[in-house]
Amino acid sequence: MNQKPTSVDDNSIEILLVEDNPGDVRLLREGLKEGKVRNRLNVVGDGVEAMLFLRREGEYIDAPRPDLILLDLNPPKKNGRQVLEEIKADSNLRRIPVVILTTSKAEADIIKTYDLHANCYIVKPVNLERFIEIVQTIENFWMTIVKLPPA
Amino acid sequence: MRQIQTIRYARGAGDLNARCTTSIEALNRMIQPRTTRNIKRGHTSKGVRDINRIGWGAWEEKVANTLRVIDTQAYDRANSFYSAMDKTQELFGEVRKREGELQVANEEMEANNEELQASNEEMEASNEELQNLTEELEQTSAYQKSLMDSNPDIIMTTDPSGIVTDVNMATERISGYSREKLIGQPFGQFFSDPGFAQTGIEQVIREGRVSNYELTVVTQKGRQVPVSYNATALRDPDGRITGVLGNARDVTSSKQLEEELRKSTAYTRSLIEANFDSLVTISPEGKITDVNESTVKLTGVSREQLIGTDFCDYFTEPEKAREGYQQVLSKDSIMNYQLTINNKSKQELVPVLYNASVYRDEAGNVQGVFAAARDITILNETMAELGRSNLELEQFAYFASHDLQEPLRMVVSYLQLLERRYKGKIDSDADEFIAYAVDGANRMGQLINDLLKFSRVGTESKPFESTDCTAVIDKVLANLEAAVKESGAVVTHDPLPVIMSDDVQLNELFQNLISNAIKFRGEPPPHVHISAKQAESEWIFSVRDDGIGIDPLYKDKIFVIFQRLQDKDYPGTGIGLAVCKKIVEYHGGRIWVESEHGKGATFYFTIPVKE
Repeated sequence: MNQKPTSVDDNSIEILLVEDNPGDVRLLREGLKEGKVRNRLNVVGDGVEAMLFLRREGEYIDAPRPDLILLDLNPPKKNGRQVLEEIKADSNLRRIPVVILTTSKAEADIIKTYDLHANCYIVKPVNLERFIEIVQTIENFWMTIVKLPPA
Repeated sequence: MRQIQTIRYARGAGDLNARCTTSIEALNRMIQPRTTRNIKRGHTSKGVRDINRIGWGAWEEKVANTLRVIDTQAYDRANSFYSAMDKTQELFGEVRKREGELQVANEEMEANNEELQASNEEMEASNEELQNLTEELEQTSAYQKSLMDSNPDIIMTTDPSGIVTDVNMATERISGYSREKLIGQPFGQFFSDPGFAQTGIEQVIREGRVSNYELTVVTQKGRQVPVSYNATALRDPDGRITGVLGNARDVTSSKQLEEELRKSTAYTRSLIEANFDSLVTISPEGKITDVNESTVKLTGVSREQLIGTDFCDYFTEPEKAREGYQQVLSKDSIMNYQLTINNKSKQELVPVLYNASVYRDEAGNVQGVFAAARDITILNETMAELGRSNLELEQFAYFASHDLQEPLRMVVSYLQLLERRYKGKIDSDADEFIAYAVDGANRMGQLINDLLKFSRVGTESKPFESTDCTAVIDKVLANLEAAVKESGAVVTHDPLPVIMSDDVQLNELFQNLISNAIKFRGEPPPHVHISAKQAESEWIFSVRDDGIGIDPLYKDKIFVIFQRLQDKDYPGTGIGLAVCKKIVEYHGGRIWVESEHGKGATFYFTIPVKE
């Protein structure tokens, strides 16, 4: 975690994962490893770090601009809703697609995050096969199917 | 002049007036010297002879002088007469006034005289009567004596100091003492409390009588006889008290009855007073007629102030209170009628639950309402506490199961990753161990999931909306497509109603019941049928299957959470039917099952009909 971004390969896509559980980070990494798209996974452990990364502040001065943000709803310090709100209120960041990845099936959470302009909401499945399938689907959908605005 | 003097003898005012007038006329006539009459008088007094003697001229002068003297005298007299007349008139006025007063006084006196006459006559008459009475009395005293003796009550006379002067035969019989023994003895000594008996005598002397004065005679043999005394003072013709006449009734039996009645009344009353509930009787007009001590405590108003006032006055909703007792009068009784007493003295609102019914007299006519109110403050508080604790428990279950999912997901995911990467690469033992671990983790996942569903019924409910049951069934069958296809089940239904419900919960309910019906099937492909019929204010739904059925012994147990009747052949968490029960009860209905082992089962549940 908290890996410092290294040099950027022009052909690979940059993903920012906001997740405090190393087990989940590893699972995601495993899922992406089996994917088709070349990607670089940047991980931060809490909401404060996430905003520093996105605004290239402090140690993240050389951080890449992510093409996709995977956001857990309950990271420490600053929760997912606050991070989402700040991203969507920032004219520089708001076009980056934000995918909510959470264990919560609560209707209130779903409604609230869409109200805050989350791009999609995904519940983490218990089953590994399904999890890997979903990770690859996210990557495939956002990086090859969707036409996004230029960075 | 004589006429003037007679005024003194005038009789009455009219007479006096007439005489005055006559006298004045007479006088006026006399003081006219040149009238023919006076001239004649002059002639008479001086005589004709003088004319001849002194000549006509001198005579005439002489006569004139005489007449002047007469005139002067006449005027003097007239003047004094007039002043006398004035005085007379004055006196006359006084007389008239006095005469008027006298008249009134006379009339009064006459009236008094008449009265005096009348009362004299009366007095004479009553004297006569008295005389007759005395005679009669003397004649009948023997007769009265025998009457007294035949009287079953004690009759005694005493002198003013309380010494017995006479007794009747009943006294001898009841007391056991002879007449001779009794007479001359102090009255009090024949009673258990001589002082109190003597006080009775003194009261008669002081007040003229006593009534229902309760004493106990002690007989010669020592037996105690309760008696009720009525006594009056005896007086001589001048009104002086000469003694006391007392009549005492043996009240042994009525005393016993009274005592029994008093005991039973006291017992009933003490039961009423001992009751912790507020007990009130109300007239058909709604006035309080009786209350117990609990009512006084509950309302903070004294018994005296409560009785006679309007029952409704003591509640926060007087109209609801009125409706309550009117319902009792029309339906004979009500149960668990909620009201709130406004205790103004404590400034407290007390929630109460009323049970009330009418009470009747022996002929069956309604006399009023008997109402019992129970203070449910503590009950309400307990209920609220229970509600809070249930909510906490539900929230706990929700968060526990929710938070359990997170580490479980790690366990399952990494076990699967192990399986994926290393199956067949270590050894067969490793494969088996991993397989058991994955199976256990999966079952735990299912358990947590079901527990989460169970806890959500209370915590995540939506307001009820109009729900088309046919649409719900269609959705459920789509969800269960795999199970239906695999089992070859045929699921049919009658026309189903639109009801007020939480559609997500209704979905869950039907899905659990239908999937159970498919799961617990027999050998042939199962047939499941759903129907609904309306009964008064509720819909009765049924889900019927032709599966293995349930032993009636367990028909209640199956709805309890984690209770499983079947072994591993029928996998499950034992939460499904508990969730069904919770959903139905949350909608205000009931759920039950009718089944026999091996003959299929029919699950019924009701949902109230609401607008």
